[in-house]
Amino acid sequence: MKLTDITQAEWTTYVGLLTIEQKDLIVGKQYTTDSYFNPIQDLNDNWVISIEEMEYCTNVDYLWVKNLDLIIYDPKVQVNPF
Amino acid sequence: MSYYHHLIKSAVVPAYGPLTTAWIAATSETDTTIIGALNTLETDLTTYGLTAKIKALYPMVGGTAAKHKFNFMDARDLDAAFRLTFNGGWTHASTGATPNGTNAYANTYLNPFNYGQNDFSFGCYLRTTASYGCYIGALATYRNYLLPIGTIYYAQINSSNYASAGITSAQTTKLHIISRTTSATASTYINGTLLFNDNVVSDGKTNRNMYIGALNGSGAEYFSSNEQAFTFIADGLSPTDVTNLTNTVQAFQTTLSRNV
Repeated sequence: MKLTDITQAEWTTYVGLLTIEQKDLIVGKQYTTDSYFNPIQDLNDNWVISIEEMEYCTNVDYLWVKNLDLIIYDPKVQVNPF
Repeated sequence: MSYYHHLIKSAVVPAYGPLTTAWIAATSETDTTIIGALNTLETDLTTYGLTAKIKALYPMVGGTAAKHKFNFMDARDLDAAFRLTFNGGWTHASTGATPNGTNAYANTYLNPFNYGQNDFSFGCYLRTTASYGCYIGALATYRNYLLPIGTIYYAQINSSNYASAGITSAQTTKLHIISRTTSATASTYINGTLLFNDNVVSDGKTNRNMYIGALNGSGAEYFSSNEQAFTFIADGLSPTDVTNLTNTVQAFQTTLSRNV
């Protein structure tokens, strides 16, 4: 599944799947003016970025993120601080 | 300059306050509604004696990250001026900045450790409801956050202990403020109404930058998805200060036709 296959209402359901090499390329880099990539790991330790980072990317060095495969986002279980 | 020349010049060039003038210079903003709202905001903060108390104020106007990033109190493009850096998936619009609740946060570069243990406050104006995720906060042994988790609202300033109150989904909008002005308690308000006094004693200062849209704990965590249309960090606010700031923010949002 690709970015063009989903609706905006589904943006919170999916994330873009990165290889470790792709994660290293984009971490801390701007995807558009004053906005920085923030790859995170999902429950299965996959490196992923959000649909917003893919959709809003205008940095010509990283336009390839728009072609990432999408997977359903399965977040890590949050450690309760309370 | 002649008397008439002076009159003409006064009529043509609006006189904005220094904070608004600096904001215009930083953002190249030309929208007269936004500029007028900011100038009134500046005047109101001065009238209520809040200008010196507020260290960072993000009015989230202009519709882009390039404009939302600026601290109205010090509109320099520097970490030292508490200019935001947006990380992860944010959506910027004329109504505010919306984190995606997955990996989005903004670093304020403001560390509570540099301010008074019993003289600190922060808050935000939320335009959308969501019952999970940290609106603004940092946690490193000592806790500073506004953090709803379901029907429980955790809110704290500079304490290793925690307190909470009940909250409904409908209450996760409008202006949320927490303020500590004594060691004995911190007070949490929603739109000017006291939600609860936590009666938790302050016992140390959080030494970690405040994040917006997530908690700065073990990295960014507890991601929020509420749209923020005004966010601030300040010295401790009295109940009167909270009332005055609430009225100021309501007027600001109404002028911009984005009040909820």
